[in-house]
Amino acid sequence: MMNEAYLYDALRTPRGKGKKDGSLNEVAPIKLASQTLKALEKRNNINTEDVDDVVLGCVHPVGEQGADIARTAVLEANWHQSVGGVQVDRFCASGLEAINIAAGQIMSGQSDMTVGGGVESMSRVPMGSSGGAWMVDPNVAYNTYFVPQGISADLLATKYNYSRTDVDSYAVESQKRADKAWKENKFKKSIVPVEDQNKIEILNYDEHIRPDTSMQSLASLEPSFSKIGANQGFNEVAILKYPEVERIKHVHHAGNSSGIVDGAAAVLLGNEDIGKKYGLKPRAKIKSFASIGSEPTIMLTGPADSAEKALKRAKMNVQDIDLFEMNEAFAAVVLRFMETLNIDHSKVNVNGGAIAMGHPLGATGAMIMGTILDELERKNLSTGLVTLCVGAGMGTATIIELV
Amino acid sequence: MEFKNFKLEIVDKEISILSFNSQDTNINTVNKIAVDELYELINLIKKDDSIKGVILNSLKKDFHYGYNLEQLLKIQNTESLFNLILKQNHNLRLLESIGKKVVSIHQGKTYSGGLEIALSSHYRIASDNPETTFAIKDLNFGLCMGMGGSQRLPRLIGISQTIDLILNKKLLTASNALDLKIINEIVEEKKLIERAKTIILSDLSPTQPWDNKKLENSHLKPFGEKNLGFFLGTIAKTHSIAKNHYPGVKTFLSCIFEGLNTNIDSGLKIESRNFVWLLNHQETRTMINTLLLNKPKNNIENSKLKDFKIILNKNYAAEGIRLLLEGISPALIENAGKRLDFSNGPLAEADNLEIKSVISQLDSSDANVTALIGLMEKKDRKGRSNKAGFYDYDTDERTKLWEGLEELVQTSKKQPVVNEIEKRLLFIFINEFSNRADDYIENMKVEEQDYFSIKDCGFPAWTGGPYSWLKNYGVKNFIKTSNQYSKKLGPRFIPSKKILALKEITQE
Repeated sequence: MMNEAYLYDALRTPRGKGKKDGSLNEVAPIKLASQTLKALEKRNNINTEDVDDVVLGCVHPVGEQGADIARTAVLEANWHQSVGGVQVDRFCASGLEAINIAAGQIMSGQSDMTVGGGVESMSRVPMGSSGGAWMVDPNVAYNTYFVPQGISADLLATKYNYSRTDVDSYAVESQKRADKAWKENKFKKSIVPVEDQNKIEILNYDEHIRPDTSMQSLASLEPSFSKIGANQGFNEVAILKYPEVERIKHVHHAGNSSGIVDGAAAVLLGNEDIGKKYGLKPRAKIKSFASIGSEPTIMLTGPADSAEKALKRAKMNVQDIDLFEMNEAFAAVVLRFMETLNIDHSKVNVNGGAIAMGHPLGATGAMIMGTILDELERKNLSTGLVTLCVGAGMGTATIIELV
Repeated sequence: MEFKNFKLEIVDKEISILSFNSQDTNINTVNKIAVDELYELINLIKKDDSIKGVILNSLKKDFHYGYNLEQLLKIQNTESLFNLILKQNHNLRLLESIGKKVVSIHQGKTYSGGLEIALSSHYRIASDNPETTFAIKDLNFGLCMGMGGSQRLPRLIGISQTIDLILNKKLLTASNALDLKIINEIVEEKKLIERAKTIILSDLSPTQPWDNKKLENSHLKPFGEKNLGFFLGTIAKTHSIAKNHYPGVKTFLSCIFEGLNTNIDSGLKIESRNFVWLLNHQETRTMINTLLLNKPKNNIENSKLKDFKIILNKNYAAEGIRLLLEGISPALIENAGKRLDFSNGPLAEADNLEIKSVISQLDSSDANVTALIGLMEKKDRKGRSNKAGFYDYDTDERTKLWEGLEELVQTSKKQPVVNEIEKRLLFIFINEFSNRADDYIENMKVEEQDYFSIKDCGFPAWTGGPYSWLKNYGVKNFIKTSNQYSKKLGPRFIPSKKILALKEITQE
């Protein structure tokens, strides 16, 4: 008999620009993670001794994000020493994977209360910091036809005919939605401002948003991947794998791809009894989750497959889902996701997404879980599906239902 | 003591000269006996406390050419081959680490494994004779290093310099080699031995830089910041050039990447395993046979080869146009040709030759053919000559397939897999080649015709030539498929007499 895994709460930091001049650059990732855990403890008034495990996603677990940042965050948050901590990496879906693993512990009856979340300081531990055989071991890179994700996104846009106008229009809409959501205070419930040791606030909003983005302003941006695609041979490697494509049309740029940002998020999960103990009302329950592998060169087509797998496990249809959060890694990825599953844009990323607010790799999955939870409650809807495309050709999806 | 591949002399008490002198041949190479002999010799030198240093010398015109590939290819048992390669690497490792100073002196050619042998000396002196050259061009026949070169060279001159040297198959003069720090100095030819003795009696350290812990360099780490990006780009670039062939390129990069993540001893094992794998790879074996071992002694008149090449190109281009008329997408046709490593896709080749000149190969009674040609002419798309053909051009560069093509030819919704197109292009080329090769490459064996097909007729090297490819594919299989093709697509696929004869010879 499987237990229900309930979502009791979800919190996140605001997202700081992931550059040296970003507001959170001065804040070490361990602080982002531990502050979020502390806030979760405080808001739910839990005795941390009852927490079995903290699972945190982090894509570059090296340097100050290394040596199991989850356990380190537990200690730094001054939680009870009996609380375990484990860092997981499923690239961009790490934060959602952390929730799924944390939920799995509860569903299987092996834990009563867990935390799933994630952290990434992209300004301090830049992308690529952890190296990896996938992209630089010659055998592996040859055999998997490795190309950087941006080339994959452009390949996807080429293969499925998304024009520059298509992807730019999507980006403009993401910015509009995010701006509107912020103006209407829609994220307020989940945001924990980042503070220093004197309780002085460092950041309380997503500073990557550019509300004034327009088709005209995006039109002036050069495609980001045309040079490396042409000069370093990546376009040709992509075409070796996709010989039906004559040439890659480069449509993605900084304005229609996810922003590089810093941030952390945490979701509190538990079984029914532990909620009763603290008088906490479950906000939602996990219906199902799934991860899949897909073709790694085009890399970013996994969300639809993982969503379908999760839907099947939940015995649901795509029409049964009220809202979707699909990480906006690149505009074409969301367009493809909506087209494959025939989902109307009005149901997807209703408060904007990573193109506007940024994608702090390991944390994003947990952040957008919080976003969908708040929005389902606000709109009095029932079911939500969260999904992200994942490096090396994967996808992860989780379905929740309000209780 | 007598050796079949070496001569060992003791001069000036403290110095021995170890000379390469492979018997019954005019070049020095490493065969099985040489490996055993070298082991014996190094142990003799090691045991003799009076010897301070060794001069590596050659009694032939050239220094050394590396492994005797003809012999290596005959070793059937993979483990025996691996043990032989390991032993030779062990020899060289021993030579550089027994505490004796090793100085090599170079005149003539120091090629392939010859240069790898030289890298296990502590000091290299080249003759100022302009005929003194250095090169590792094994990738020309699909092979890469097997005597430690992939480990010592990057540790000596750097990762990117090594990759540049090997991938571009550079030929170095002594002064080029000096600039790259592959050799230490250049002297007059007659002073080579004297200078080597002086160096041995100097304070030269008998330790290699890769054995000096103080010299361990972060710039040699593949995961160093600079190298990471370099590998990322080099892998994609080489992959895009090698397509899915020439495994030597990938193997070479692997040796460097995997080997430089560890120490020299593990690196040498990594290289040896890769070398054996590569030597057993069908593409490598067939390339070594065609391009090296069966290389023709005589040449063929250039104009004849040029004429033949045009005929073959027209035939290849025409097949591309036929595929187009069958509804195959132009991108798929072009990519199929490129994946085979033809220098151009068939339609690009048609543009180069002038579309009109290719038409003669096609069936003029076919309404589709005449319609296409008529339309191309009407649109004034002649080919490269007027910068408009199947492709668009910017000055002289092809930019992209002409978009109007889609209106002229109906592309089928369901496209075949690319390998099917590749197969057809290979079949049509091979059949045409075998039909006419005896007229243009006269009085040559099929193995020699294979050589010219690659060197002069644009046939991809990885195949080893039409006949080698046929033998690997199976002549019987080829004839069977050709007969199916000819029924469906026309008599141009009826297997040539030469191929039918080949079936008898190979006794399939």
